[in-house]
Amino acid sequence: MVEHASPAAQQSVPQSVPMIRFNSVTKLYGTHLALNQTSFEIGLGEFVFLVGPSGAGKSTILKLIYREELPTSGDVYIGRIDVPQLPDAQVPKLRRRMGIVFQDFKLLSGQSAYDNVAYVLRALGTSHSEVDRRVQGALKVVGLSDKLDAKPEELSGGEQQRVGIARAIVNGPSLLIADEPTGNLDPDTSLDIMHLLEQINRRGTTVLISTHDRPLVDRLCKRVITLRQGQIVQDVAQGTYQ
Amino acid sequence: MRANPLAPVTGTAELLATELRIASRLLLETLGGLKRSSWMNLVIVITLGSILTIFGSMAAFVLNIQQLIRNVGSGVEISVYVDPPNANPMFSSAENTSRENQMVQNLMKTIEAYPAVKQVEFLSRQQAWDVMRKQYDAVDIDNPLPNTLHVKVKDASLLESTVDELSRLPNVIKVNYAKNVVEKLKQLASAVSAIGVILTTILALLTMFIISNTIHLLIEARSREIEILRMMGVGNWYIRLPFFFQGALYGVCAVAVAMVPLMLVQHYSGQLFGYFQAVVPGSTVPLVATLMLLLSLGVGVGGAAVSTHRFLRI
Repeated sequence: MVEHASPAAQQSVPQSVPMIRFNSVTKLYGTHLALNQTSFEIGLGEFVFLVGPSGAGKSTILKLIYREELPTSGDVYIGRIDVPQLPDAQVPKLRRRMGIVFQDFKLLSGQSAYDNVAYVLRALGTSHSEVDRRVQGALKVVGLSDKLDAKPEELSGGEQQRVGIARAIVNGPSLLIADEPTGNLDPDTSLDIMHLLEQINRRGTTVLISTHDRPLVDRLCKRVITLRQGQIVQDVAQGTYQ
Repeated sequence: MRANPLAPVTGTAELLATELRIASRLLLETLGGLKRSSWMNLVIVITLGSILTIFGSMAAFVLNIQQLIRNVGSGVEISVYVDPPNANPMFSSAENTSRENQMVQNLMKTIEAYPAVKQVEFLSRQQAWDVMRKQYDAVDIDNPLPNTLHVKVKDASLLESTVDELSRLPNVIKVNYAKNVVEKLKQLASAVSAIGVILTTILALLTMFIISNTIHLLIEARSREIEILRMMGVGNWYIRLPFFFQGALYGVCAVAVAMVPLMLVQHYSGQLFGYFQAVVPGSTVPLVATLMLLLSLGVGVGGAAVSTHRFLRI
């Protein structure tokens, strides 16, 4: 399963510990069962699709990973971190170790692509020169070096998602989570975005993508975890969308 | 330069530089918040300023009155009327006068020994009678006046207890002092204090409500941005602090506004002292301004705290 794991990533989490581990995780929203006794592991440097119809529990899994939700029962681990037991004050630190990409991009309108990517680094008190170096680097990876000053409203959907991805990788995370990243994009742009995420994965970042874009999943031929009604119905190493 | 901005910061200088950069970013965020609140800023500062004016004026007035009570009170003369001893027919008139003077002198010494007493003056019945006859052209009758001792106390708070003690002394017929002036001033001070506390409390809660609502609107307006910041792992305090700073800034601006009426109250209180011919005490402005600042920071930051606690999901 583990491909192209970078030395840096291996250093931060020992090889024996998976990047993500769900152990009998159940999540109830009121009486609605979103996840039912779900268990799986994702190793360092993997590229995994999480697929299934709406309401299957894909977004719930992602939210449990970045501690937006707490499980009703079961264990969620990121590396050695017991996510549900993490004190609230430590949650920002956990999120800084991962990058999150959203379907609706979640960019700050009125701020340039550069400022959108730089925002978090500045909030952390990173020096001006370091911010510049990292933001320029991230925007170069996503191919937007020529659109630093463009505001989100001046960019196409695909370009906006590229800014979203640049923002997610600017911290150099070992894990990238994308919730329906191509949901608002046309097929060609979607494929571009997937190739970009693949390229980031090749640099050693573990990538977990929730999607119901069947052709895209079939085309990339990666590990696919299929969910239905809160349960994993299939987990295939080089799979397709069933 | 750190290769990884998320690696732990080492070295005091670098840590300080990081903190300074964060502080300057927070300041920018606060200014952004103020810009978004636009005219509501003015409404809040004027409202809070008005409340501080009421609070500050009343506090200054009460403090001044208390000073006045002390000054006027210690200036109030206690008149102690001394019973003339019965003239002994066995002694001559001169001997009787001498006995009488001796008794008064003893009494004076007793009173002067009181720790509360600042000064004792003797006005003999003869002197008093001479003054009265001059003023009223009185007929030539026997002197009906008693000997009088004028006593001053060191502090107004000692006035009543001293009067009590003096009236229990032997040969003292009656003790008089300007009780009404001090009592009236005390009543005025406590009435103003009570009204001040009630008004200030009600209005402070009202302003806190206005500030909390304004910041609530701001949180709503920034909800998308705040959600993004949370997802990106920006610390809770980084998100919260600009709202607190904004509340505190309202407080500081409102104090600046309220200083003008406070200075006016101080000026007219000075005139009141002049009216009572009392010594004008030190200005109450520094104390009252400090109290106003504490109150307004409490209201400003309190309003922000209510809103961030209720509406800001971290």
